Amino acid sequence: MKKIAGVIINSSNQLDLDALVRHRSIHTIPIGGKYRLIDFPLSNLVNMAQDLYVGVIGSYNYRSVVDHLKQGQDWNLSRKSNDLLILQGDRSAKIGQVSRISIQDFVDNREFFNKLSDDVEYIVLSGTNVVSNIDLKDILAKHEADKADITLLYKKDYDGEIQNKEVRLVIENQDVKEIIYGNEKNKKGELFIDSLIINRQLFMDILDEAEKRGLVDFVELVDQCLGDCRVRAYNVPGYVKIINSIQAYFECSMDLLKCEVNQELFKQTRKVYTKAKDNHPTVYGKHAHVRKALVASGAIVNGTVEDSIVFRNATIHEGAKIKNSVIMQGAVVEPEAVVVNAILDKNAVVKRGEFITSTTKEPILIQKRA
Amino acid sequence: MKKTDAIAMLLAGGQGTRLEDLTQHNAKPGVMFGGKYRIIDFSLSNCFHSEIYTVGVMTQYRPLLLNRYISNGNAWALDKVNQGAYILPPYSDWYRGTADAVYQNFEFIDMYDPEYVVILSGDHIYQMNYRPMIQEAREKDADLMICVRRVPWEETFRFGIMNTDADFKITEFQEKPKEAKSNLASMGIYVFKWSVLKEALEKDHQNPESTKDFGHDVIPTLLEEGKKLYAYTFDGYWRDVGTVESYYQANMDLLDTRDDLDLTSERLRVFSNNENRDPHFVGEKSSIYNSLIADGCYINGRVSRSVLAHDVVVEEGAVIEDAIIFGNVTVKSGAIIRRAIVADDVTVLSNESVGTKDGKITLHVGGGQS
Repeated sequence: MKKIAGVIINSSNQLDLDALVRHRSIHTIPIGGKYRLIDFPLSNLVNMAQDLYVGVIGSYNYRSVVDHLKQGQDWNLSRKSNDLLILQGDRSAKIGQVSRISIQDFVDNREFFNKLSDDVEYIVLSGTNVVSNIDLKDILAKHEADKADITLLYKKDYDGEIQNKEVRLVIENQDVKEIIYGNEKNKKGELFIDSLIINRQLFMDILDEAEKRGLVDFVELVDQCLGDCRVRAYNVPGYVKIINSIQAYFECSMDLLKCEVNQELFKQTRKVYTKAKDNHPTVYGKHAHVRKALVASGAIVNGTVEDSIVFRNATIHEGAKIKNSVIMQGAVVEPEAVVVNAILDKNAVVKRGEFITSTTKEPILIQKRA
Repeated sequence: MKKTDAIAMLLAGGQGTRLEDLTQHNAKPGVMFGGKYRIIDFSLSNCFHSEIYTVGVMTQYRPLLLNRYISNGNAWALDKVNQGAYILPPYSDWYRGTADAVYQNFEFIDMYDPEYVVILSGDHIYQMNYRPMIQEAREKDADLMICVRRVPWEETFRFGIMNTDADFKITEFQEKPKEAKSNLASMGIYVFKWSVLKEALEKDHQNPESTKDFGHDVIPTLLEEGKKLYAYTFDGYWRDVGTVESYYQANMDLLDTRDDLDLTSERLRVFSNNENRDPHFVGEKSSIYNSLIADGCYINGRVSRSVLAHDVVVEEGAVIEDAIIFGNVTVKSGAIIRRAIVADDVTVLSNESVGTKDGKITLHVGGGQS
């Protein structure tokens, strides 16, 4: 059995997520009724290999990451033979470095890579803000068949917003020919989704090289390898959404209400795992009217809910109306309140009779309460 | 080992023949309840809330599912160092009665050498803290404290009835009396002084006449011997779900808002062995009224006053009323289910109508295939 080391990277300084990350790490932004962003890349790794070492690059706000992952038991990562480690991270952001994939995060955690057992052949890097159910096993098989040194994952014709800082790839016959940075707007390329497979030895060599030369961005180093190494590209089929803004977060949430997207992400043999909680089944009251919604256990619904996501332990009181909204865990919408095109962060309360409305283009975010 | 003040011995060996096909592959305590729980969750959760972390679970009939489900008791937070839930199957002779089951696990109890042993049944639905009962046993220096509840006088003939003095000291025990002198019925929950129980079990084991039953043999003998037996009244919700009718009714009771059976309360929360499932999806054409819906479901039909377990599919145009639907059931478009219990994995076809408006509750296990 192949051993893999997966590292979930932290690209918080690249994103415009505003109040959603004020009190939490990007890893733990709640999504889809009961998940956190990190559940997607982490589940992808877990579904890839039996023997797995996982490092999660933490962040300044790491409390929420530790609270969510604990020892990894809900991802089957807490056995003696497996390892889940929260790694120190995000120092580069604090010292003002801007990079797509921060080398500093790997250098700071060199010990993690050095201690990997000898039979770990590959390292998988995964962006944390990529909502997709990715068959990494298939990608690794292609990586091996192609005798590639590095395989970069991309999404062909990505139709979401591409921000200035995103990296794009020029691809010919699945070979990566050129890496395009955000400021080179006139060039055409496919969106790199911050995820890749790299041979372990090469990864370690690159790390040494970077430290010697004081480079900060892993992507730049891959760029410099293009001539000497076999760098392949893999188009991730199916649903892929990059959560790089509040708007993208909202669009993704609405996508989850589409039956086919929902089925593709959640009804696969490759499951999306998350922290288990002791919730009662969803309670629907005598005044509930619910149409097109994703509702998690632990929620109590007694009002009208349309085209919305209702998280664990959220409460929608009698006479309340919710439309096109995301109601996160513990949020309460009191009687006769109206919520349209809004994101209610954790434990937010909308008072009796209050109106919170906005447009789909600019959903309003009601901040988290402690 | 440090002396433990109380441990629990939970009787989970019952065949549950009166639950008919629901116990075809599963012991009664392992039967699904309330959409995501199993019946035994209630007693195990009560133990946690009572700070009793050592629970011997005596299984016998079809124990495999139950053994796997209970594991080490971590789902109920019982897994403290040297404590937890322990599956105790018979290892030399079949358990011949409730008293014999405990007798055969004599050495298990002696390992802990507790002050009190709490005897529980795995097939009761109730939320109770046993601590005040243990406390009262200690204050009254009771040899045995029996939990009782007031039942309607016309039903006393179905129960073991306790006659007491003003201080609730038991003076007489009547097993299923034709003419009862009191309406205090035993709930089958006992707090024994271990020293007293030990001796009583030893004696009962030697007695060839005994049927090895607590209610029938052990308790009458203790009373005859002049031991100090007290009744402890419990007024909260309690139901023995031994028959299809009572099982159905107890599930329906969950749909009413009541304080003494409340899955949503933090106090006396019912824990269960959570599995990882996605939030349920509510489609365009659905209507859901006064129901409990578990994770993983897809609802696009009409559901009212019903309990739906995980991964149930209700297609457009299907109708479910006053029903209990077990996991992985598919209800095809146009199907009608009324006042029925539908067992796991069954598909109800579009021209099918299950259940009747009145009369006996229908138990539907599908067309012979599973």
